[in-house]
Amino acid sequence: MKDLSQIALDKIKKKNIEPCPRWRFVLKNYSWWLAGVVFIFVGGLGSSVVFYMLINNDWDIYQKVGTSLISFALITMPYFWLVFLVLFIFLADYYLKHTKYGYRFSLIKMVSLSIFISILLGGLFYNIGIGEALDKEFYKRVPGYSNLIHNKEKFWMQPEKGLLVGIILEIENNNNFIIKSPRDRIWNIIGDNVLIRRMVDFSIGSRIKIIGEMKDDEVFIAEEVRPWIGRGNMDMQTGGHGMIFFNK
Amino acid sequence: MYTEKECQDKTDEELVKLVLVDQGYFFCLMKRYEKKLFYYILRITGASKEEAEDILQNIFISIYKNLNDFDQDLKFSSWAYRIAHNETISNFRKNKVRAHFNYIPIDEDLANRLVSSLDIEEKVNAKITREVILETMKDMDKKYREVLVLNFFEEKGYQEISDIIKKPIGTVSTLLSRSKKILKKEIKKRNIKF
Repeated sequence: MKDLSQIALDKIKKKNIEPCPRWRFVLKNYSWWLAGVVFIFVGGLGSSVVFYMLINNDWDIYQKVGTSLISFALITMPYFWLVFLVLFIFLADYYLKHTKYGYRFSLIKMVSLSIFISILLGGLFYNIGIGEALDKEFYKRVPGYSNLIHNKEKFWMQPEKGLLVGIILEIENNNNFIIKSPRDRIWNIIGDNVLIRRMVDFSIGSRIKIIGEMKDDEVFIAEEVRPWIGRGNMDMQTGGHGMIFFNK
Repeated sequence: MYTEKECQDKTDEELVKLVLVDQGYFFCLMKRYEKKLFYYILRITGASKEEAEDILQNIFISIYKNLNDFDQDLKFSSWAYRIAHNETISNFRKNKVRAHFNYIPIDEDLANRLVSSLDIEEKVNAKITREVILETMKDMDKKYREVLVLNFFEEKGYQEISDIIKKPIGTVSTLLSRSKKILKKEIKKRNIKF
């Protein structure tokens, strides 16, 4: 066998090959760490929206339409954000695996840890209002977002079962107003002491959900009005929180 | 350039620190690993001797370039084998070299040791053992072959293999178990015919 060590050393000297500086390796390792952490952080943001949507889901009305809890959950699950969360967790896993000792952790351990941290962050971000803010921003700015994430519009457009959704066109008072539902159907909304939830933006152009009873093809008797997103703060017991509007 | 004798009382890790100051010490480090890595290349790729020599030179240059990345928390041997592993696989893929598997040095002791670890109840025909090992390794998926080579031929433990191929210990254990099953099945199959 040739003296390969000598040949290699001669090549190193001839080509003036030098060891790469340490800072490059340190920077590379930190970059992998940073990328992993960023993806976990973004996963946390996604999970805050999931928290927001699940907590503010209309869990109380599934029985009204004769659906099971599981069916209702499947219809209203925020699939977009769940996929978003899964994607970012796997991205985080990929980058963390490339850190110095990341390879020592199995996929299950890495993914479990990422999920745990994302959920923890998600809870924290939800509590400070980031989940709601993100959802509203996406709703405002991202075309098609509302159809993608809020397929509950279909669920709420069941006037024969007492559920209606639409955009406010005219307001006479809280017990008498007109809305336009999907497919441009016009509805006269009437009621007696209609309960308008705190977070409802009760103004022309605003999208709302209504619980009540269908009188005919054009008239709907309202019992309760909720904001399009969420239940509009169901908690009416806490002082200073729930302001309920009656006969304005 | 320093001779092996001058370096013999120094550990690999000490030599790495010295190389970063004086290039001449690198010769000692290479000499320690020249034969081991050369046979390692042959065993995992089945390349010819000439191809293995070329690959080994690239490995040494790569080791030298990356010396500042060596972490003293790892054994130098694991780190060097890791570079060798990566360089070999990359070279093999790039050049699409046909595996020969004619040059793998497997002596009788080594073959018997490997077979005895497989817990084969029947008496194994010694003549076919080496032949079967070579044949089976040639056809084996690379991921099984590399852990088998590292464990039996390079005598690396699970943690070292994990550090070399950068996979969790659980994965290493599974791969090794499957590679042994494949080998056991082949040996039993061939042994029955005799």
